[in-house]
Amino acid sequence: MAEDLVADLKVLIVTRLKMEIDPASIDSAASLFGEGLGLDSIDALELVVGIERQYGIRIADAEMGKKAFGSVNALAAFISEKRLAK
Amino acid sequence: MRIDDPSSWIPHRPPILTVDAVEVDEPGVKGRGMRRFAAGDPWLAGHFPGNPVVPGVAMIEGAAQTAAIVLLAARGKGGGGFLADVSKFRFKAPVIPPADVVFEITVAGVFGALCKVSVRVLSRGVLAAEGELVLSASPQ
Repeated sequence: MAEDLVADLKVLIVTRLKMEIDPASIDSAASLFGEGLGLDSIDALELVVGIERQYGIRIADAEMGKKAFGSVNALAAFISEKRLAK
Repeated sequence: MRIDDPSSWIPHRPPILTVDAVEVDEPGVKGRGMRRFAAGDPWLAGHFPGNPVVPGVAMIEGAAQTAAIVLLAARGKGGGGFLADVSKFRFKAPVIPPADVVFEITVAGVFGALCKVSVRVLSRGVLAAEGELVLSASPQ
């Protein structure tokens, strides 16, 4: 289940950000920003919109974003936690 | 809520001020800006001599100014902001002046200081352009 979510999130990232890479090539533990996947704040906003549309989960502010966007694994854990809290 | 004095909400001034009035349907979420492009409008200078067409960049700027006012209306006071991204714009039909143009904006998402808005630009009831913008709030 968690592995499915990780794989789905990699597809979401590649699709929403129009990246020309194989989703499976994203390191689940690597940082999404900076030296990891190299995303920027506008990419983060695009992911916030995509996650809200796909999972109904809102990443309300930058503080929450820091936790959620640490890596794909961190994002999956964040979404799982929010789903349980619903 | 109708705003007839956009310059009291955003710092833009002629000739760059590109919205005459804004109807805020829901502050921070949705609204419409109006702008009349008449002969002699600064945006039409040189675009094109003897064959005036409203530039696409004027539509993007008018939509961005409308979006800024709709967002600022949610906090009840004017301020600044910057255009951070322009994407998925398609220009469907030329806008020939004199023309009344409507900028319809809907907020798609907010994260930190950034806000993504969907835009539709209409003239004479026809879709002239559509696309997406990201605005960044000024730190002030």
